[in-house]
Amino acid sequence: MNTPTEHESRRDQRRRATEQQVAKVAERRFSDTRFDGLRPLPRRRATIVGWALSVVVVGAMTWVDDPYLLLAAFALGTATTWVLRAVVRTVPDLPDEHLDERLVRSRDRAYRPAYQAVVGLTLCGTSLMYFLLDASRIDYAVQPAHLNTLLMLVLFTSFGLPSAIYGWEAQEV
Amino acid sequence: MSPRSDEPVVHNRIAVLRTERDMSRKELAAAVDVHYQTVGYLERGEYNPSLALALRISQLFELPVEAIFSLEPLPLLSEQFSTKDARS
Repeated sequence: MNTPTEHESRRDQRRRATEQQVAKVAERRFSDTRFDGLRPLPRRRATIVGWALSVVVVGAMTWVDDPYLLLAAFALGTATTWVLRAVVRTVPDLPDEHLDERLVRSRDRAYRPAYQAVVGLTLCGTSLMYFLLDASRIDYAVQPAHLNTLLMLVLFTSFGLPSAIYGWEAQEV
Repeated sequence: MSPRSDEPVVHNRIAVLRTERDMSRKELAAAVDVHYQTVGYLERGEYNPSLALALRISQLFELPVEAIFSLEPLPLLSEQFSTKDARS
């Protein structure tokens, strides 16, 4: 059995390794030039609109009960969210240590409306489902595919929205 | 990111001082430990620095902080010199 000191030192090593990993990711993101074509403000905003449309398409695709369509929707949502996050250099996901004071402030300002939107979306979606569960109100019943729609929308919105808000506001990324 | 609408604009002479010292934005950013884009934001008046950052910048330029930053629009250096000349 490990002594408390050994346990702590392993924990410290793991923490240091994670920090180094995050530092490497941050460095890579800030020197990444692959998406420079999408970074000027008008193109970045077009990318954000494209991402938002793709999330709507994902919602529509998952509404139908088809496993292939579900996989395709997941792939589409993952791809567009990944591109969006890469365009804004994943600033909304980086910890304070790897950002300067302006970036920390921009990141924090993006999270508030994103949090409100995700909570709002989840509340509206679940309330609607709850309402529809009572089939006597209208001639409709919730199907498992519709729960997939809600899950996918919440998943991609929560992953992408902070980046979208940050990217929309920032003059340079 | 622009300052909040209720936030006073802090005017500064960073661009002039940087050019005078023949420094690039990246060099200045590295010297005061910020992202190079932040220097652009500061120079355009789109971001108000924290007190710590303002002090680091004034230390780097070896000038008092009020010579670089002001809540009032800063007069052009040429104007200041011409006023001094007129006085003397």
